[in-house]
Amino acid sequence: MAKMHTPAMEKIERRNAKRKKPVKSTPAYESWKRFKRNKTAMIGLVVVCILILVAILAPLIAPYDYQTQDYTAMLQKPSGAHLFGTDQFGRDIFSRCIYGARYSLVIALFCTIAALFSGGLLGIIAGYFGGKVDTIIMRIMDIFQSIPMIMFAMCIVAVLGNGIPQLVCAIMFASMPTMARNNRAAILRVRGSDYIEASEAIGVGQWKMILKHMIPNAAGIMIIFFVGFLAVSILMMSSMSYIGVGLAAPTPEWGLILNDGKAYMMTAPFMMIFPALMIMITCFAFNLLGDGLRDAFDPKMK
Amino acid sequence: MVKYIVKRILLLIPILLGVSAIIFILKTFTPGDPARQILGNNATQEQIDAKREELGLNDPVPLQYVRYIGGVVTGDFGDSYRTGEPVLKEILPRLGVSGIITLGAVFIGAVLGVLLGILSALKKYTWVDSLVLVISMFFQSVPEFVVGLFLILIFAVNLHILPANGIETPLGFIMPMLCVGLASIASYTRITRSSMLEVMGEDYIRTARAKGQTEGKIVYSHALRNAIIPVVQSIGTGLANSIGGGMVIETVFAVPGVGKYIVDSITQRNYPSVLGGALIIAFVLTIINLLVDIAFVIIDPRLKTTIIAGGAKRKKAAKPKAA
Amino acid sequence: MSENILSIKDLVIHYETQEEVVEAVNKINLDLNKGEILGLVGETGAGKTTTALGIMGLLPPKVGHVIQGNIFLEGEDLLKKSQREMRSIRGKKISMIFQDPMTALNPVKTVGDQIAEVIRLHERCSKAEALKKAQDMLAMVGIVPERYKEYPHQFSGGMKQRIVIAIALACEPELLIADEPTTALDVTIQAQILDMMRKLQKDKGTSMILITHDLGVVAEMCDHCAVMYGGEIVEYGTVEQIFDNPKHPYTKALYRSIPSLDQDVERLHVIPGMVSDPSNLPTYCTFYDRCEECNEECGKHDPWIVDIEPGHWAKCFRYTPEWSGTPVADPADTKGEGK
Repeated sequence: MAKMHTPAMEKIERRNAKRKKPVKSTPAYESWKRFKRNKTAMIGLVVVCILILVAILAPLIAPYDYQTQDYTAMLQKPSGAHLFGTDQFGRDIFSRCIYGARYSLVIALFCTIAALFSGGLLGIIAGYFGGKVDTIIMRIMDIFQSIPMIMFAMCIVAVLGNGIPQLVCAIMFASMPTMARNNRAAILRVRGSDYIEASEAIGVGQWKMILKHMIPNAAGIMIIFFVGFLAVSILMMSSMSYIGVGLAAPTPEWGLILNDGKAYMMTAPFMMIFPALMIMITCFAFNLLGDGLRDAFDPKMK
Repeated sequence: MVKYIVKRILLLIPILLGVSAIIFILKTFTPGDPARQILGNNATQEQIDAKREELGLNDPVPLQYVRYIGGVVTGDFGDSYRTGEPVLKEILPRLGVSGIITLGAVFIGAVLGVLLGILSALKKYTWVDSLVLVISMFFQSVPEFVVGLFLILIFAVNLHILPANGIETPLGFIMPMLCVGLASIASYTRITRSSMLEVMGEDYIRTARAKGQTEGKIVYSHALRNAIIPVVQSIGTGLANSIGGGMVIETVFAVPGVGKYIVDSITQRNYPSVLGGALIIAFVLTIINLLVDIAFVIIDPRLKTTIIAGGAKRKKAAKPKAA
Repeated sequence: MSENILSIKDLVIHYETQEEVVEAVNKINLDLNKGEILGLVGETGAGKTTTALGIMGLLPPKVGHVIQGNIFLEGEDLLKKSQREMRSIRGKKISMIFQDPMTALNPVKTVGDQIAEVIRLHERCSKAEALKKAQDMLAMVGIVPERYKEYPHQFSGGMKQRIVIAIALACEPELLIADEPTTALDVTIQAQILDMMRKLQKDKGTSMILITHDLGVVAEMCDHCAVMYGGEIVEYGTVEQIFDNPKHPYTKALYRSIPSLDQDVERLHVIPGMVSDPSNLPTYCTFYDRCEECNEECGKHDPWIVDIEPGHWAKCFRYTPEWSGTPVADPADTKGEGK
């Protein structure tokens, strides 16, 4: 039905004919549809899922225990028996990397949740209440922000000592200003929109407003921060462990494995390559996923 | 303009006070006795008590803090526990080294990032766009020190063209700068791309096309100057990240900069040095952020009127004069 | 024919996206004589701006496509020109004034630079000469020339539109396309701008296409008038012919929906129904679903162009000799299905 038929129209008609009946269209469904079309994001999602499986099934996958030392097989090159080789204590690097996924992912998850609850909450409060509350919170965050994130985290670990809870605490404090800022911006964006004003006008209660209107609408952006920060915390964690202010040996964290390999860089580079690859793949997957989510939730932001 | 700058400089003071307070609080929570640290394990209890008295460690914490701030104002950041030298004297010569690395890194990151961002905006939704995304995201996903290690493996161990560590020759700066710079590409690329896409859809770009202007000139002389504004804004944050990245990288390459100094001081629990280093870095960062804001006013003439008129920073475009 | 500066033949423009094809302009024919003003009237989405962008060669790349037709400027087909040739025509031979002056100027360049830019592109002259000429242009549109060093945000909306006009006229184009030049302005400023445009147009002998949805503006300014609906020109004639003797039911309905000063009416006349979806146009008359004077024939075929008097035509079956059906008073009765 048209004044003129063109090849482009026929192409669309052919495609429409193949399609099943339209499914009901909710914002979440539309986002998922956009996400599914994005190949790189799907790759990210699949890799993240594999990594999570690896972390859960680490004892089944890893051929050796991550801390068993074997002095008969030290500094061995990658082989059938030791896929990624062995370190100076004869520990199997493949097993250490596999268990490393467990440590890195879980710690990153804790860091991110902690950051989202502390900084994120501050940001939401600042954004929602505005005025003096906003000014005070954001000025304090300004102060925090003028110390580089990783330096702040290192100072905290130096004070509290090496260890997992200390590291989580350090990363949480260090990331607080960024998290607060991002979440505040997200809330402000939602708060400024007309439908919030409209519900205010018809007298929707404060908590109902936050829970029913603002959080669901800001949720998309917050999920993006969440996934993005997982990558950031893995990066920070490994950097800190590598220079010796983070986790303590013999935790099989990827940064620490790299630190072990430092001394053998010339003779046994495989000791560094594999854990480095693990960090790279993990962060890359999280970043791809985060980027895909950004496009899916907010096509305008791309 | 002068008034604005003075106002911004005055705003530095609470920030610096805050930073020193935070780090001072951290210090008071530190386990271990600095006096014992300085004197070593063989010291007697009397010696330690005397040292504690000398360092003022027995005074209440607020008093210690006030004393410290008083010193800072006169340029006294305390003495290093390890060497006994004034912290400022130890840090100042290192500042230049870190400065070169950080600025070089920001330069590499911003130039490459902006170029890649423009490229992917102009070729949006093509394979070029995806490739740029993947490249920049790759460098975002690799910790700086891993890039550093691989660069050392390639250029120092295998090719022998760059030194693996130290800055005895200027060549020693290249790899540290690259490591920190590459890591920051992604954020610049992303900001440039989205801002470029937005600007290229603006009406004034259509006006320029209607004038018969060439695409290249439109991008260069109309779009870029508008699109670069958010990029310049983000350099402040980028700088903070680059300084943080620089700390790790200086350690990897054994470069005698402020970063390595602070990392070493942290592992040695040498708090006057950590505190002094953090304060100086915060100071430098805030000053640079101020400079960025001033540069921003120069790029975007709309802001000049707002600021000179005494209005709040970046409120919105100034109201037009009455016709 | 030789008098025509612009002549559009059977122009079809589509916007093609992944999801749909929008038929923005459908087989339009237009002629514009030298030194005359043609008014292009129609509601939002009728294809007026698309036509203008098509003439300029500025359809959004990859999305907007000219499917068929020709656009002759002084006998040369613009659609056969290369990008490079089009660039030398844009700004020099054809200029365009855009709808919203607030966003049409680059906020980070001085207005003098922005006027000088088009002069330097098309005339051999130094930067200083171009700036000098830019100041002359500012004076011509009624702005103090010394203000050439100021930035767009320092001017009001009406002043900005004057600057946009100065840019458009800087190289003395033969054809000026003004796309709703006053829609975004205050009513009082509108008259000033229109007066100025008319004066400049007369002085320079520029031909002009004035796109508007304001019939008053057309009556004031134009020599000829083309009424667009659903991507088609449904009626064309001189302003007198169209205003004194409107033929197409859509044109008539348009007139009825104008508030009148001397009659006290409770409610303005509203054209029933909605504009047809341009991504799914009917094969019959586009206006059929809203027409008050149609018969069954209209719902089966696309009407052709019918000459009413010399230089006046309408695209409607009503004026064909074969027309027989009695006009239906209330279209809703006979065409019960969905409005």
